[in-house]
Amino acid sequence: MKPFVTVFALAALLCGCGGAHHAAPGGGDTVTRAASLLTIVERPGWVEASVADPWREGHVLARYALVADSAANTSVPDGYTLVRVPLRRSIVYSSIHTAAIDELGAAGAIAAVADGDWLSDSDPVKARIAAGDVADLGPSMSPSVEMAVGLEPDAILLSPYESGGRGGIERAGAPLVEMADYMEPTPHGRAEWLLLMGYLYGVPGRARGICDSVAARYDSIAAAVARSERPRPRVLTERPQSGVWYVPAGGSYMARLIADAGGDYAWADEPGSGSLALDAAAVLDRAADADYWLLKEYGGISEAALASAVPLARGLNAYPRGVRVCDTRATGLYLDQAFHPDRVLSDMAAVFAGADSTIYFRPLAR
Amino acid sequence: MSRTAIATIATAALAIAAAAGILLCGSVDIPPAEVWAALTGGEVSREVWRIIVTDTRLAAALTAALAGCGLAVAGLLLQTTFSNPLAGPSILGISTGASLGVAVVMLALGGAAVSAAGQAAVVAGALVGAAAVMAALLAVASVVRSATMLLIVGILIGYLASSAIALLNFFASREGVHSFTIWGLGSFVDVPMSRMAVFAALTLAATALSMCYIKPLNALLLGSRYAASAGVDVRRTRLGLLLLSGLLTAVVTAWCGPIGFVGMVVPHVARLALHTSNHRSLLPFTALAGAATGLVCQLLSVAAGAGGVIPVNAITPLVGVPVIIYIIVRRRSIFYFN
Repeated sequence: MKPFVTVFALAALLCGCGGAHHAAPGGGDTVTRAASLLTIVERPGWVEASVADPWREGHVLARYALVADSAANTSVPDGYTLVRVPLRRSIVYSSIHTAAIDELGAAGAIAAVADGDWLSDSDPVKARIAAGDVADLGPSMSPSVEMAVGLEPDAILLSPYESGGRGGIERAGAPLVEMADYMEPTPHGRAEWLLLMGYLYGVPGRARGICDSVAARYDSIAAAVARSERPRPRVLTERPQSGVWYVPAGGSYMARLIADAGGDYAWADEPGSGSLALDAAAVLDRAADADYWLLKEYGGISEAALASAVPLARGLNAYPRGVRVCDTRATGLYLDQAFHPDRVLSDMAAVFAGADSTIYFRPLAR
Repeated sequence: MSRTAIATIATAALAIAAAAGILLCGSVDIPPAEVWAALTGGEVSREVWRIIVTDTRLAAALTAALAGCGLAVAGLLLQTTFSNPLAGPSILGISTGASLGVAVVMLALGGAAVSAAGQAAVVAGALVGAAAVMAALLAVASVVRSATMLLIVGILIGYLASSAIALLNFFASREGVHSFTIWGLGSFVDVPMSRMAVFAALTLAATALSMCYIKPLNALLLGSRYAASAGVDVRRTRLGLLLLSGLLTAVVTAWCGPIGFVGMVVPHVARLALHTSNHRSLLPFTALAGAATGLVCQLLSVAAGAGGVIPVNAITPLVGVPVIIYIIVRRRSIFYFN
């Protein structure tokens, strides 16, 4: 009887999700639509979550079987990692994910974070660390495994990197949930990873509601931009470091965001979803006529500092009046870019329409 | 024609050819006529080409020549001072001290200093770090008589600085570590034309001053006791040479990052070419050879970059290591110290 009730309860919980589901092979409904690296399938009695390997096409990075913690011991297929949900004591490495979990109303299930020193002062987790409610494992590349083991976490949410280097956190004995959302090439796809957190923390309906409203607003803004007859301004991003100028490739997240916001990204024709390592001359040659130069700077940057850091700036049409700087310390750009791309799109579209009073990207300070 | 004259002409030709290559080659295809027009103030088809030629390529060529010259001279001064063929600008910890200064700016301050003050913050951090190590070395040099002991102290200071850098890296953000790593790969493209006069003045002044030490350097070749008996104030000479080599290393590292191998290898190449250790001809030739080496490395980093730029520190070992191995194998035929 007990297993039947559990299965029924889980089915009822899962039915709270909105949106169109489509049948998955082997039975079940696939609830993810936009994410290219994440597939979530609601199967009878459990939820399957698969994370594709972003660096090797056709390979899978991890497969998870999300099972209600009240269920009796459930055998999961080979190659799957069992994760009991909802999580009650989790370790979450990234402040982007802690913010999302907080938005889902499940912040109480965060037992520890990594890189706590790098949290902004306005981050609510920082206050909880100070109060002793949340532990700080230290640097994410070399966390305190002892502390992690002592916390007895249900799961550890962390971002995978191609070069590996987990610092031994696997020894904590908890399932590692590979949050590869940052490798998603589209805003819709990345935002949809909120669904995975919804399933992990027992609030999939709320997660789906947020995803759907974000997607709807995003599409509405993009459609309005597309209907507009305004010419598309040419856009350049980033600045060089020691002679190397990393610009997003044409298939990258930023390139898509710029295009949807009504911009003509200077490297839109370059294939790939990563970064291109160019020298300053190559950037100047292609984007000297750019109308806008978008920068993301921790603490902002002044006009004098930018001129000092990038002497070639004088050759850019966008300098200085077309420069728009996002102070990543003062704004929540990285947080919103992940799961609320509609806000960033709205801001960027306003910039390209000529507005100065924007939230993220503001004119260069003198 | 003497061996020195032939070597000088050949090296000068190599330097000019490499400089021409840097001006003509790059990720942007600019016709030679347009390059010439940009350099001579003539009319160019695209104004952006003028900026590329003067602000990047010419600046990179000048920086490479000056940095190579400075590091090579610093290396020669140190090799003679310490009677050690493996001595170089990095061995005394000065470049590591400069790296520590940059690490403090980029990592400990969270990049805020860089955002506020731009490249000046990085340069200032490097100079302060190098100056701190130099001050420590000079203080030790005024007390320690033995050159070997001084060298050991310099190496130990370098280890201390490396340890501090490792700690800063450990607690830094990923972006900070990435920025610092990129800086540590070395680059000849970071000195803007607006700062070239300062960079050139410091490097050339220190190089010119080192020429005043030719006699004491020749005396030191035969040992510190012989030098003392010949009337050389060994301690004061050593202090002056440390100061000059330290200044050259600090200035180059501050602007270009820690450039490896050039300072250690070029003096040996110069000795091989001239078949002499007489500093009267060796020192100026080393300066020229250093400039040529810097230019060749910069040309290789651009040519092999296929649209981008390969870090200088990936190129210099390719040039330096075969030379060092050759020297180790053939050291009996090379004129060295007493």
